Amino acid sequence: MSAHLTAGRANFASMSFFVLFLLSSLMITWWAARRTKTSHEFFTAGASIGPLQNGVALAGDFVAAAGFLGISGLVSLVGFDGLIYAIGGVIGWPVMLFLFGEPLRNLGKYSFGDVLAYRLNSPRIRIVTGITTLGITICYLVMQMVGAGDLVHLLFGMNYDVAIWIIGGFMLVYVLFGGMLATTWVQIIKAVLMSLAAVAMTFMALSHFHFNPVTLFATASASNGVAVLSPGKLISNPLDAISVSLALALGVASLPHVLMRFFTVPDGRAARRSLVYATTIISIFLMLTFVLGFAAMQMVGKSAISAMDRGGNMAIPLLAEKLGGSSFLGFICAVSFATILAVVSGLLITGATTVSHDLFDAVLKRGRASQTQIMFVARAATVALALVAIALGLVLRGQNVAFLVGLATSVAAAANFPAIFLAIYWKRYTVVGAIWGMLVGLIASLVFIYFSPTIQIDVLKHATASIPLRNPAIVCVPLSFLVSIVASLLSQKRNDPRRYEQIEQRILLGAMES
Amino acid sequence: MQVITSAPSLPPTVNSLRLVATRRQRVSLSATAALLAAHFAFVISIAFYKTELAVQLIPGLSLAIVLGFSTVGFALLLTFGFVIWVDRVHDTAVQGLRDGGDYK
Repeated sequence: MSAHLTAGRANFASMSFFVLFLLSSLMITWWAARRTKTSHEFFTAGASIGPLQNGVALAGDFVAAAGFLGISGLVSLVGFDGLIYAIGGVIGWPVMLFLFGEPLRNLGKYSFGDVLAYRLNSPRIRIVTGITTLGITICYLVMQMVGAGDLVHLLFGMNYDVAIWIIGGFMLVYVLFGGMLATTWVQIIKAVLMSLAAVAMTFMALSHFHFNPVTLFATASASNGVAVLSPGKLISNPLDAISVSLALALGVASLPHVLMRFFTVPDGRAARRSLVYATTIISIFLMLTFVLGFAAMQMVGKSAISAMDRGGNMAIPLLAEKLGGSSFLGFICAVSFATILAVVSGLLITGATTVSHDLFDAVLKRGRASQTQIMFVARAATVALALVAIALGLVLRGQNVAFLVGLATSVAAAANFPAIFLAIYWKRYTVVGAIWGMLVGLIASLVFIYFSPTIQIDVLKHATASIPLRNPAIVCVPLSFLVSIVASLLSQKRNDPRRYEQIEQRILLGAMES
Repeated sequence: MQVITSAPSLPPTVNSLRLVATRRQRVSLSATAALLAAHFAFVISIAFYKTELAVQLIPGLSLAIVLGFSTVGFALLLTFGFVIWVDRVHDTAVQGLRDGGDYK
């Protein structure tokens, strides 16, 4: 079936859309560069992003290639089970709205390290937040680069190494010259294009099924068996399923590159509104990917999809070609490429902010670095991190790096989530509790992942793994909370209760009024 | 865990601020608990009741799909409910604090 499909080869339409996107993004970068002079503008776009714009950018950060191509691909091959991942992705966003959005914006300036440093009155904590932020960011960057190289090869037939250099080069240009403003607008444009693509494809696909998704599901189950409508083998170990769900729900709410976007809006109210927009967009989008997965299963066929990519990543491009011909396929391929570029740029600026603002200015220079020094270090860190991402992307070609997703979400859930939660909601939280809790969450995640089937069986090809859990959040999150609480209670001499009253006031009224 | 402690000796404005903060915390924590409970109920039901969830309510629509979409619907409902409460009740109380008045 795949013989007459052109997905996997560059065509005129795909190259035109691809070049058009790159040119537009460079124009945005040029426009943003003229407005990015200070570190405040570089790190947070001068807090000038509106709630709707930020909501779209937040959604774009999350609904990347893994959401658009990965989840729909999984649905196209196994049916219902793909919905479990889609729902897991949705849940973290309301959690972020309920617990963190507004308080974080009112307490911090550029990073969540600001929030902990201000709450605990200790710049030392930034060293730990810097380690977790850089760890998570580099894990995500590497995973995106390796995945992107493979994906671009599949979509355009482009050489893997060339794809890595193009992606690395463009993300460097966006961040280096345009800072957060360029990064955000590239993300917004990509998110809008991707949403339009998903809506258009769903409309075209459902037109074959009387515009009724249930008719589509019924037709797909008649052709592929009723098992596609019910839970399959994805959840075989209930404890593992709960652990993955916990990691997704709490980890998504604590990812540094997502948290950083709260500081690009003017105030807490705008942060709250952006999270409502983001939650709505992500929920609708992920439900559309479920429908699109079934459409691909029925209209393209499981065998044709898995023949091009065993993971199902080509389901959407193949469906696009089926529905709208090579021009529409070209549009989808270009949007997928744009997705990767936008996401890696967001990760890069988060890493650069941590190095320059948290580690260099606040820790090394004790908050006394000049604007010139901060900007120099920010740009040097941008170049260094981009080179690290490119080098690791090239070196790890063909390697199984899927464990990095679990590692990053687990570290976010076990190290960052308890720290941010306790900082906002617990009066007796101390810097000793924060440092011990975060370090234990980080180290436990690393150890558990190493001995899990994800590394021992999938990567090292051993027959068994000493820890049966694929994601350790169910152990590491409670452990980190426990250590944080015990260490805080044991170090109450260093806790100033009046500090929390100031924090409470600032959480409610914002920085200006406190 | 003690989230907030009362402090009768504090001046009225601080007490007012604390009351607003406590109410906001209770709503935030309750909404989170409700959402996580619904989500984990969905995941656990998938793990333990696969056969029951395979039942088709109408051709093409299994109980599993209905539960999955309902979980997302519930998440959206909580999101909008929370933000409406914050806009209408919490923000009014915060504005009262900003204006120097007491918590209402």
